[in-house]
Amino acid sequence: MNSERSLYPRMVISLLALLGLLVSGYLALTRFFPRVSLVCLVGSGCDIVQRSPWSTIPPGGGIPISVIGIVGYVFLLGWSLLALQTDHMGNLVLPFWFLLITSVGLVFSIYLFLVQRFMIQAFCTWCVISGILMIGIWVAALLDWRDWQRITQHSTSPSMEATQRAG
Amino acid sequence: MSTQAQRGRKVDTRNAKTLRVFYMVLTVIAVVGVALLITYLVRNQGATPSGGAATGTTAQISSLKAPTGMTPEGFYYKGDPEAPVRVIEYSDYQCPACAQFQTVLADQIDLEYVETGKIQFVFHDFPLSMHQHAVIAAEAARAAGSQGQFWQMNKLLFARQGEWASSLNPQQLFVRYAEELGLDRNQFEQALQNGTYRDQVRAAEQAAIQAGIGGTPTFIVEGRQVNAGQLVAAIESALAAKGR
Repeated sequence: MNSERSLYPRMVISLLALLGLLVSGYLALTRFFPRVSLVCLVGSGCDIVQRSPWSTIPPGGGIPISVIGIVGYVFLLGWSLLALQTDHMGNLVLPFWFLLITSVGLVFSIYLFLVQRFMIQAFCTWCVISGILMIGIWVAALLDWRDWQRITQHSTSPSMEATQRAG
Repeated sequence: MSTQAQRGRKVDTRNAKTLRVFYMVLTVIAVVGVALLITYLVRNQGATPSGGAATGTTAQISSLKAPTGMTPEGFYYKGDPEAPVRVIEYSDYQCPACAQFQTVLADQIDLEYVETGKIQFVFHDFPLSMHQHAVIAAEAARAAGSQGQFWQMNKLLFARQGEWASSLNPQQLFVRYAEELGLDRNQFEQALQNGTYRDQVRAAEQAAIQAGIGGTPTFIVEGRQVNAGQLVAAIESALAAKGR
């Protein structure tokens, strides 16, 4: 492992992904077990958002977004934990692909925000929290990738051996 | 070379320790989080569904396939207008027995008789004077009806009766219900504030009194007055009489 690269971005990502997983899990729980009431932290938009046709992909009857969230966060959590152990999977450069994938996640979160703002016209606190977590994950992924870039670009002959050995 | 390896090993040890602590913290958070979710799930299994009931209700509402509309007398119906048997319900949104009919029997009636084209089911508002919010609730249902969602709001009002019947500001709750159903909020709110449908509801109330209806829910099956307990039998015999 390249010991100059900071662990913190990856640790932050796995922490945020875990929190995102718990939030998505809670939303999924209240959807599939209606007896568990959805406690809205701020305001009253949670019920409206959760029960609107926009709460699935595709809208109006599809996969609940909370389920997509669970799958996504499990994936991010698994990946970030893996990335704490290694930098390469075969030819795949993990930091780069991770940034790419979290960018997709970020775009999805932006879509959800826009839906709440313009289509449902109500906000669910938990969805907003999930969006904030996603932003945090993306920023951390960006920092991690830039860190990686910085390190690998400084790779002239001597430390290139170290990088190769660590990979 | 040895310096590098030495330096690498020292940093690796520090990293390894940080990672170990981090994994421990992460595991604790994960365990606590999952434990909370499970506790919440288990503890709420016996709880009275408040917002919960409506999740199922809203899901059922949108699946009504039978035609709906308004009779010439100005009452909302569901089911084929040409159906052999006509059922009229005189109902008060704030009456507990009426809500009970909704929870216990209404869906079954929908499934077996309305959706199959066997009956046309007509809703006659009959707000009783003892129920403070009955009239405004009936207005809310009609306001939703003007936006094509009468039966959805009708069902929602009965499902959430516990919530709004005892509220000091039921109108506010009705607006939220309207939002849940995806109605135009402003249009709905205006209708309630202006009392657009009050006259219709009052007229319905008068018509029910004049028809000699004693209480709610009361059902008229092909001219014969029955209560909720006798409803299914009455429908069956009416259908049999018509050869269905």
